[in-house]
Amino acid sequence: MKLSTLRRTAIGFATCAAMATAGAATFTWSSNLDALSMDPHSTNNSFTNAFVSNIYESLVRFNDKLQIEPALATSWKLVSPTVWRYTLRQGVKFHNGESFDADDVVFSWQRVNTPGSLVKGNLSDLKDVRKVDAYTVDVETNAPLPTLNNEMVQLLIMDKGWSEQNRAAEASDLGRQKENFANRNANGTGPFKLISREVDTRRVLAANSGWWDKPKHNLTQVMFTPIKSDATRTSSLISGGIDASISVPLQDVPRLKSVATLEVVQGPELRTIFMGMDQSRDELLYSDVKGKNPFKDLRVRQAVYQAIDVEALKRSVMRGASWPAGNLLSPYLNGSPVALNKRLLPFNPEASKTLLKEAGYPNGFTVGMQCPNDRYVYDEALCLAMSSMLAKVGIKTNLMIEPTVKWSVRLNSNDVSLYMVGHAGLPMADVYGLLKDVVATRTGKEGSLNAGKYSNPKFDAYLPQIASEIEPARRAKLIEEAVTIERADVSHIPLHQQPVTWATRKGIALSQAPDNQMRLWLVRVNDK
Amino acid sequence: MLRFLLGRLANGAIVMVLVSMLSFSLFNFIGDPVSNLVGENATVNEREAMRRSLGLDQPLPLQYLKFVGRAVQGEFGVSYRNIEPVSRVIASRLPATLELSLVAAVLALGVGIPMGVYAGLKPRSLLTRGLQVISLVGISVPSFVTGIILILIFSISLNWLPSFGRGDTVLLGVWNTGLLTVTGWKSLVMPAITLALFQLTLFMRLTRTQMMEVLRSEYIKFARARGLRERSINYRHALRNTLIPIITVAGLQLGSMIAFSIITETVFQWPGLGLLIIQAISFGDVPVIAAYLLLIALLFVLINMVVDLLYFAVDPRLRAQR
Repeated sequence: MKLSTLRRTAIGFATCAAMATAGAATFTWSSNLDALSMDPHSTNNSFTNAFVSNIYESLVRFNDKLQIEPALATSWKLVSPTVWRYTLRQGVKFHNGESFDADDVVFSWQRVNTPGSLVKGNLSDLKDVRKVDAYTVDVETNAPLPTLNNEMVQLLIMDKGWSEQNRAAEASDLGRQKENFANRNANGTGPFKLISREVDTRRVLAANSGWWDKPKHNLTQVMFTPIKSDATRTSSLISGGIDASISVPLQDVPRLKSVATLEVVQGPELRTIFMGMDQSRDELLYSDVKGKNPFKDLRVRQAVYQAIDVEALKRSVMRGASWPAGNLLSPYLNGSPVALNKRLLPFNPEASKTLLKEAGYPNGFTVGMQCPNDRYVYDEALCLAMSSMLAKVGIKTNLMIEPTVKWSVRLNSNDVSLYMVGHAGLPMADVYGLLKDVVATRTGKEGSLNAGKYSNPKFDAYLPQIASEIEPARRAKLIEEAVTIERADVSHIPLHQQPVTWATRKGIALSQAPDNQMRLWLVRVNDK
Repeated sequence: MLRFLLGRLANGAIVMVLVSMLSFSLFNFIGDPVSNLVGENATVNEREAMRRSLGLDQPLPLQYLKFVGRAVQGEFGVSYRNIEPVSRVIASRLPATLELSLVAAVLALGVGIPMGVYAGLKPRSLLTRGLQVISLVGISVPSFVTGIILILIFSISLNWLPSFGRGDTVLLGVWNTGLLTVTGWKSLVMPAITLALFQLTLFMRLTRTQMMEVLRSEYIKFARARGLRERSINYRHALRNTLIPIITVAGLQLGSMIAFSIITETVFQWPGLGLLIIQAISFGDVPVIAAYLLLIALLFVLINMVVDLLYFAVDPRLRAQR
């Protein structure tokens, strides 16, 4: 970047700032979390990924229905079963004025594979990205990959020149305690430019006037102010300190609805919440059953299933805002077997008691129940409610409720007996990732959230086929068959999809999607 | 005097070592930052690789020695949460907390001591009784309740003051101050009152009891007998002698206002050290927690030293003995 470009950029920023202070559409929004880094490759935190997606773009992007649409690529085609050819958009400029071309795509792919990068796992099915000419790249995958575009969303493109000039050609590396320029500054092609960043205080973004797409949004400046305390965030909405919040506690919904100037936007999240059970140990942990593991018996798992009343959880814990689930996959995930989204077994405590008696536990048993208390919507309250439901059929639970940082250690080390967990199927928004992480037999590469070590080789055999079946109808059938096996085994007990709850000043259209990500380029502020 | 100072410094060093060991042994119980970094879709191998690269797979004593080795060189590593050098993260948060604590301390001492003096001099007046009742409320209401009540009144009902943040700040060299802008002061009012309220009532009650006790002592009676003016008795003789315990408590309270403004900072999203530490704890950001605890230990050691020196200034008897 030459000095003159720098000066022009500076003038550009100054103009934006001046426009913003003149009272054009400034949009202030809040969340309980702050984005960790501005480097699109150095963390894999879902809020951070979502935030930087307003600044950086990939070859393709999701719209608010989570459908793939072209972004930095205009079209793509399969040239061999494992090679896809992307035609890149011409005339696209990075925020600093440099042009976008195939070199930037190849560079970003290489950067994703540097030691500090934490998003390389999201792109693990890619083998290589090659330049064909200035505006064409080939992406080679390890195996045929029907969901390549869903995966490509995670390959955010950085400017080669800018990154090298600022010595940020590698992702910030926590292991080597190295941090770089790209962590604090940003230069993407996206709809918004980063103007300033103060951690835990505010981030200021300005609309990119040279954006290649015709903007649907009408914002000139965006202010993001994280507010950790729920009560303060809610009162800031009411007092007008912020325009919108994307983390509204359910208990505040009635209060916010009663304010004439505000509206609450709510819908199901991709994330399904479910209960897992240790199905591998010969003796169950945290239990009074010695020498055996009741959860190895299908009848016991069915008994737990039938003892939990998901409608009651919806009514009395979730304040009506949950979508009881028939399987682990949200109906909004790509490839979701919607026909199987009904409960396998009805809520029936009597049937549950009979099953326990048949399994040899006429008086039930005692088991520890591991739950987080700051991870999911009303996680702790859900566990308390389920604890009393299970007690009614004779399963006494010792609640082990812990903060996420402790609970996740248990999950990683299989230190569980009966536990709550959830998965959103992100970042790909496809069923494969969830089935691979949650249901597949735990190995180094699969089953990372399968803390109960459920394992069925028949199910596992389906996974590589689901991953590589290009033909949609055949893939749908494979998914349905695999999920039917897992459901019949009661590998987990699905509870519900939890809500995404946002609130905003009336007259602002937010474009909420089930992945709970704020897509600023779809936000419209109508009138003040 | 020099021997005294050196002795204090040696004491302080021992305290620092103990605090660092104690805080490090606690990290076993904080939990694991890895899941926050790699995302929920990370594979078992990726999680293990992350743990190894952060050195979390090593035995705790080894991790401690490495930490001390780096800390001695002033190197505290990189924050897991912000991926920034810890020293820079803490330095950027320090001004916010110091400004808040100092304003709160001025408020607490500046209002609390005069109220206490008045209550001590006129224990039976109606105003004193009123103050006593108010102080009881101030000492018993937890600060997050005070904060939320203030927000309800001044942000929601009246819409006079912002409910979060620090307003606009001005960068003076390395110091990011909010004391030079109108929005900065507006943002400071409610957090400062919330943080000061408990201390204010504490100082009022402390001053009042001390004052009443000193006023009963013999040298005050002698002073009266000598026919000194009431003002000179009250302020030059009585008040000065009540100050020693007040200085001790004030020093410690200032330290705890800086160190433990966590609740106030969380309620008002005040971007200082308290907010930093609470978020570091819930994220498992070990480098930040370790550096913070050391910093706070250092702060208390220094404050105690200053308090000891102030005794010399206030109490001539101490100077005579040495």
